[in-house]
Amino acid sequence: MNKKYRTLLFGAIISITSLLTGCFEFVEKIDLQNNGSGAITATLNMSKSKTKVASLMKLSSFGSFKIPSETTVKAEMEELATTLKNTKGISNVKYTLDFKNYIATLSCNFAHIEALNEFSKALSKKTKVSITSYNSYSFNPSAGVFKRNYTYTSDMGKEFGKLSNDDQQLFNDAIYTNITRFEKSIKTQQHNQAKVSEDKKTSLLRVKAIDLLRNKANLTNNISLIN
Amino acid sequence: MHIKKYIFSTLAIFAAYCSYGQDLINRVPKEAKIVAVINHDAIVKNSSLEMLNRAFVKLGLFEALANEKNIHTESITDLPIALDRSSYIYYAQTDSINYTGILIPLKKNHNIADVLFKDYESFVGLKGYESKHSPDQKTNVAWNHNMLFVMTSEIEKKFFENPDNAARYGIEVQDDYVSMYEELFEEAPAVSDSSDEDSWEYNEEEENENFEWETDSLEDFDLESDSTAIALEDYDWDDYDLSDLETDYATISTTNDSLQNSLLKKWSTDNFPLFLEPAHNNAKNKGLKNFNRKNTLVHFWMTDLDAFYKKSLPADVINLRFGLQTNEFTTGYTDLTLSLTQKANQLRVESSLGIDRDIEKMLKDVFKSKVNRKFAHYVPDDHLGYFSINMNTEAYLKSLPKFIERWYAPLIAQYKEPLSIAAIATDVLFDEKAIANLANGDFVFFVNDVKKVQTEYIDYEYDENYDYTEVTKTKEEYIPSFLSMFTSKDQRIYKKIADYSVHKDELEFIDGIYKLNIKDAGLAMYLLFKDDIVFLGSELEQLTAIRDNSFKSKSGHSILKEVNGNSFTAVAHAEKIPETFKKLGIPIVKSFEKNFEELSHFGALKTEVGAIKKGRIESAISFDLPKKENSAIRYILNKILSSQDGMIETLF
Repeated sequence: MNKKYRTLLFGAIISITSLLTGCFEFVEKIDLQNNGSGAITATLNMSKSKTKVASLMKLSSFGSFKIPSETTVKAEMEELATTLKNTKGISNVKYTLDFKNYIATLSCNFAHIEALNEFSKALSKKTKVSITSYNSYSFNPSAGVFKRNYTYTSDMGKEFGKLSNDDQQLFNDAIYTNITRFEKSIKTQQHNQAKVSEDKKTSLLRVKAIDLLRNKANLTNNISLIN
Repeated sequence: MHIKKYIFSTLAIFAAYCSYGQDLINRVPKEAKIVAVINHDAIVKNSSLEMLNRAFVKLGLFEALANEKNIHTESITDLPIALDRSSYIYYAQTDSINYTGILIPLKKNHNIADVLFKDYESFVGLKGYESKHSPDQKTNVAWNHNMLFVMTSEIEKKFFENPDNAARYGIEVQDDYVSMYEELFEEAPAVSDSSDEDSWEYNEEEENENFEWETDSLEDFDLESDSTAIALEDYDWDDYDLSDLETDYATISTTNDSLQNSLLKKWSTDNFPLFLEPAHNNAKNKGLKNFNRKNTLVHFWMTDLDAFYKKSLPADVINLRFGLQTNEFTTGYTDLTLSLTQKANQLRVESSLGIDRDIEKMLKDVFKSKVNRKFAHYVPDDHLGYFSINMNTEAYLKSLPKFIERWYAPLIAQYKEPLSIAAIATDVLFDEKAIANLANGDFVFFVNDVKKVQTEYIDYEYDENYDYTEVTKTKEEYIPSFLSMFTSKDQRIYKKIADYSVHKDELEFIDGIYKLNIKDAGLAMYLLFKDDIVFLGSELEQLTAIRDNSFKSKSGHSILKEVNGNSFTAVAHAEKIPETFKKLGIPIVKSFEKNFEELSHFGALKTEVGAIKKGRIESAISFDLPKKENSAIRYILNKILSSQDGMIETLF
């Protein structure tokens, strides 16, 4: 892995998202069938910072960071979708880009959840950032156990640490939400901050982006289903 | 009679001695084109010796002196420099040599011989001075009881490019390496001429079609019938030994360099006394003398700006790239002075640019203008900053043909005649007065304090089973706002365009104010025509107050006075920046946080360009530093003293 590239990438992500005063939400929704197939939808909602995003998009760069144009964003998204389409086990890839409210959505079906790990590998190869080293999924249909493994990456934390204390606090409003829905009811789940829905079939985990960046929150979760 | 002559001569010699002993300006030769004056007295009096010493220690200057010159001290008072007088550094040009001279005032009973120039060789110079030169003889120094003079020189490159000069001194004028290389291959076989019938020309249509090779292999090419291939194959390349070419070039260059060095040494030494006690000096040069001795820390003067421009611009490159002939171009600028001054906690750079009579005639009326008095009623008190332009549109349009002839035509000599015709055409066709009625030439733009607005955004609401739906919510945000205004005595065309835009649903017209929605950003701009002023702003409340004659302004008249004295003014209130950034949520990098917070103790950063007076354009940039030190230079020294070492290394 190219450490300098990864550091630069994280630095750019931190700095650009901090320009949005941290007001954004990332929602990841997984619908998992009993046989291990399902669908995933990832949504990045920057609507709360849309005034700033709109202003930033009119610039070609901010400081040392290049601001992508609408055309570039569309092209990058198209490329991402193509990579996803070419991943074995993935189908029905769709995406939307709302440049009025600044909401981006990417969704697909998967034959088995591990196909998402294949997608992460393909993306890692493309961007030379090892995503699979810190995020992966697995599901054992017969045992009814769903696992998500997450490992904190220190590079992101280092870049975050460069911001002033006041600016770090701006990330208080940035949220990461994971919703995992099953056909069977949930028996137990390991993560102490994750909640179970009334119908017992959905797990909801909401963490602040600031806690993820400071390694005070983790996304690792083991969910056991009632067989 | 004889006694009188004797007395007068003695007095003259004594006066010359005294004048040479006092301000060293008498030793700045008339040939000097660029001169910098370092006013030690003002620097010391406006800071303090103790602070300067500590700052020099922090910057490592004393350490450098100890290491490089074996001078061990931690106080500038121990150095031989006279701190109550000024140093001069100048750059003088002759046709053959360029000189850099440094004049430093020395204290009584200085010991410079013990500490400096120990490896220099003494020579017999002017009586009354100790003279030495460097081992390569390109640097000469001389000192007496109260001053030190250092002079370095370099050959003026263009002098020996003149064949007559080169021949006189035995310098061999040679072409550059590329030309010599090309000469060597003059008799090489020519490649096919582009005028040949068989030659290929680029055809865009063909290029875009799928192209298929007609032959499948090189065997299909008939090399035997290709004349160029035969010629190249038969040619005896051993006739061309490039190493000979390189040797020749190097030998000529080395010989020339050696000759030029010898000449430089001789001329430097021979001319040194003429610069040590110049017969004609700059003592009466107003550009060099007229500055505030109490507050000016450093003063700079430069003459022959046109010659300087022409020398520094890469004329050949500009001509090749843009087709512009800079040799014919004259700016019309005569001389320039710059002064770094401080007055209490304000640091200021003042400049004065001399212009020739032609330019003064053309520009004087353009910048002889006053801003509309009514602007004073509409100055928002709580503004972050503003800028203004103050010129006479009618005079500018009338002068436009002259600008074209004077400045632009010489740059493109091949189009000089058509440009002249275009210049006259603009004079004939333009109704300058009618255009000036559209926009008088005055314009002011204020950046208001940030304003709170309600904006909508999309959020998600979750039910008990964590199914989510999109909902629209509102939030308060701060955005910067502005107000601008300019005078227009004939607003018909603006109103017509605005009304047409309303008809096309591009604008809304509500109670006398036009509104333009900027959809992507959720913002709006407002346009108002009132009396002879056109207002454009982003705060509806302000424009409504202007419309209703209820706009309050306390600072209007003082700002108008500031603006009226200048052709261009820009002001930013630095003390408001930190709070504004916080409200806007613009993040600051941690390492800069402390300095950024300190901006709230600063005052205004101001840029002013004055009108033209007596053939000069005056301008100034000033910055009000925090008042706690009572002196701008003390504040800067304190910053140096309290900063981390890493930052100093970064700066220096």
